Amino acid sequence: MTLRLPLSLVVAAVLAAGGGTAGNDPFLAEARDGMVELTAWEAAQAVAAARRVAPDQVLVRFMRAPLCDSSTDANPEPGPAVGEVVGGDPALPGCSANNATRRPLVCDAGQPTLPLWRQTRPAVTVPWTGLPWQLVRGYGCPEDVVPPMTAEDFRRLPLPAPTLNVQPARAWVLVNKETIVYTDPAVVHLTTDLLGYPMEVEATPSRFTYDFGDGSAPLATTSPGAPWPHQDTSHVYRRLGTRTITLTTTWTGRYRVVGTTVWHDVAGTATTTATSAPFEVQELRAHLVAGTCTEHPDDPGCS
Amino acid sequence: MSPTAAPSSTPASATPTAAAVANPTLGPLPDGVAPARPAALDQPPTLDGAKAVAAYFLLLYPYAYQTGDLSAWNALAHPDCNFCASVRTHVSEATSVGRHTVGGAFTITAVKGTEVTPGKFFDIQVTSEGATSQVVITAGAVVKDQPAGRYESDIVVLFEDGTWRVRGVQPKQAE
Repeated sequence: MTLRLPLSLVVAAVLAAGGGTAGNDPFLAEARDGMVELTAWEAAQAVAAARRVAPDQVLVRFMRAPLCDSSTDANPEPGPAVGEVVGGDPALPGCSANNATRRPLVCDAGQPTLPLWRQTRPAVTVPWTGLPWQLVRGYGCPEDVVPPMTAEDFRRLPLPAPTLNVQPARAWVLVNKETIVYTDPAVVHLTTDLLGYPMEVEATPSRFTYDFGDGSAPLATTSPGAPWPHQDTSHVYRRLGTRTITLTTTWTGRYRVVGTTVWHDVAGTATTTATSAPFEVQELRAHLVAGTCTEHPDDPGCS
Repeated sequence: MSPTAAPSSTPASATPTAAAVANPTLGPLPDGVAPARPAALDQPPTLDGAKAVAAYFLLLYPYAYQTGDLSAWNALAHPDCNFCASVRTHVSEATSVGRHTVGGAFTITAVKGTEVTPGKFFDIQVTSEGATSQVVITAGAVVKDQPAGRYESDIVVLFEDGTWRVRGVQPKQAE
């Protein structure tokens, strides 16, 4: 989530977020990407592609095997394969399956998956024996393997713009008096299809930016506001004229494959906009008139 | 909170002389000193090259906030990289209101990773430490103090169409 708020609102947002260290740490406060999922997906696609190759044409094969204790970060070594070797020929050398010091992760759904290893050969005539196994991905979680949902995918979803309410709700407001704005955000659940997978998406309106149409700086807030007398988002017009207010809502999202339990954050945000009907910023003045407004409806102050 | 936080005027090309940097490719660099562009950026894709690109990109983070210079950052940022865009936005906004960061140098303490798709997709884990920093207005007043931190960042580096790009950064606090 990108924060682009005036300083006072940044302070408010940090407080609202619980004031954790991440709120004050600029590096952790940057928008982030779902690189664990993207890598898991990329690796899964590579294995799937290897599965489709005829056995006598195989140049790349994969296995799941623990990471040896004797490994270094620069030189990871696999233990014996566990389960299928995609590409065949399971007779493999390797250290004993000792991962006592290489703790697998704790996963949200199911058991951790063993590291994925790849062996490549330059030609089908070259025997596999002696060719190195390269680590493709370390210990992972089954829930990480999801099609990555990009911000662009998220923006394509039909998100309903939250209503923009203006008080006073009429064709004119008063100059130098508070004009109140608020909205009625609701979390939206949608289903969509991503690379052939049915996906459940939860979109949350998380930031509201009001442009009051008078050239003043937009008001950006995480508060949806409230009607009078509990308002916390309002604007005072200083000049007369016809105005419209535009509310830009920033949505954050999370998604999961239908039927699974673990949510993944959508990297990036989407926006919707709602615009008010035009209204007049007016001034009320006392006028001395020669009669009643019924008698002289066009006199100053009688409209 | 000392008022000595003078605006950094060190040119980007200046060589660090006063402060000794043990390994300039791993930081920490003095304020305003651009990290050295790794040779890997002009070489065929290898895992070691991707590690050098990822470490370089992280060192560009404090440099961009200190100087407002986003040219090297933007040249490496993939269009789909949210982290990259977030930094670009924040640095540009700070520059437009006359603010920059003093301090916050990064030290890279470990780089490991894997070649997920040979010659194309690299998943790099970088452990780094960021020093404390201050956001200051150009006149010198301190606007905000920011804490030091230790991070583990999952960085995907792509080599596409003959060019290195940082596809995304997923940072978390290191334990």
